[in-house]
Amino acid sequence: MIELETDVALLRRFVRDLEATSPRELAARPGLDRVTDEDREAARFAWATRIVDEYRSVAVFSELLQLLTDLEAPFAALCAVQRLIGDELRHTQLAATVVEWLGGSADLSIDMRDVGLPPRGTQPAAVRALHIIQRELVVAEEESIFILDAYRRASTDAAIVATFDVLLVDEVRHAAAGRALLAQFHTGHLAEACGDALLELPALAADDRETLRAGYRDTAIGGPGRSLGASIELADLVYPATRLRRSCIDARQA
Amino acid sequence: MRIAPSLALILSLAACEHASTATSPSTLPEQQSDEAATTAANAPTVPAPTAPAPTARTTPAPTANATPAPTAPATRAPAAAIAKPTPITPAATQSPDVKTVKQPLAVDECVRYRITRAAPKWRPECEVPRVTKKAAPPATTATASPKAGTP
Repeated sequence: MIELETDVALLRRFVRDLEATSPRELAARPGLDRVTDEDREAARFAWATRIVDEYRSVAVFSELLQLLTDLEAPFAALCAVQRLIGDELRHTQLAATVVEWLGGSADLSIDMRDVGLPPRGTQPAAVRALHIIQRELVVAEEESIFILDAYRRASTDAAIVATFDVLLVDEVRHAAAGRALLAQFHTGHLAEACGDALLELPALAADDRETLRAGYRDTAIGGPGRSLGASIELADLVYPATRLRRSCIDARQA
Repeated sequence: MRIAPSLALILSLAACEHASTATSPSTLPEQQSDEAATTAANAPTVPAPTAPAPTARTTPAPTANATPAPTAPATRAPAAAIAKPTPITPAATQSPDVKTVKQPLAVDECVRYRITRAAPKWRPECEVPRVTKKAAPPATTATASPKAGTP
């Protein structure tokens, strides 16, 4: 489990700097007076799981930043990814805060070690970076918008809704950043380094999107904790007749 | 009645708020403009939410002996040593017919404990559950720990 507190004043300043990047203020704590223990416990576990999910993004995007620096990616691309890392760190803190609201994590074991991607083996750095951008940013972040929006609409507690608002605002931005980063790999030395891997992206994206949506559907089965962002019904999961364009690479292949 | 703005509204607010927090007016507004355009063009839009249908809510009314969230055997072990720990997850792991079962659920599908931020599958095997409930410490441990921690 991550330790959020520090007694080092200088480090606390960095935490405050990070918090200042939040797109909006958090609401007060949730009102738990009318919440059953079952609902609260379910929500506590859900948000504890979200701590790990957000932290995983920190690890994944950190690897992406290292790959991009190795590849001499454009400065703006590096700036974007370092901001993504900060956002996901802030989301980790956010999820941990909600867990504290709901009773804390003292009785939970939250294993965040080695939560990143599997080793890349002999895969070239450019292809690894390309795959991370396509799979984790363009596809996973876009799909997370739908599921987070479903949980947000299912929630009725103001503090939880406000928390989802922050996550959603950031994830939308991340998905857009993913598409912009992907475009960097279609020209110049990055495109050359990726070679045929660019041609495989549409199939990879379709497969990932299908897998993610199937997973989300399988878990949208209701249950306790709905008002606190812990459960949704299948009817909550809405994929609108879509304006979701295919990714940049999809469009180029068409 | 709770009025939830649509995701489209969130998108526009996102652009506005990020722009409003810009520290460098000479550059960031332009970046925000690009970003907003990209977002508007690419991001999904969700229609304004409507009031949930009464039938959509199937959670049973809580009873006096409401079943708590499932607990797992809980000693913390190295990740590599966890063969098949019992996942501690909320409702999303529970199929409707086992909601009231008190014993830990045996969940063997990867997706079942990733309810909000599922990740692409980079390898075929399932991730181990990362959130489990600790075992209650033995009484003797409770008396020994303050001594060990006291300077």
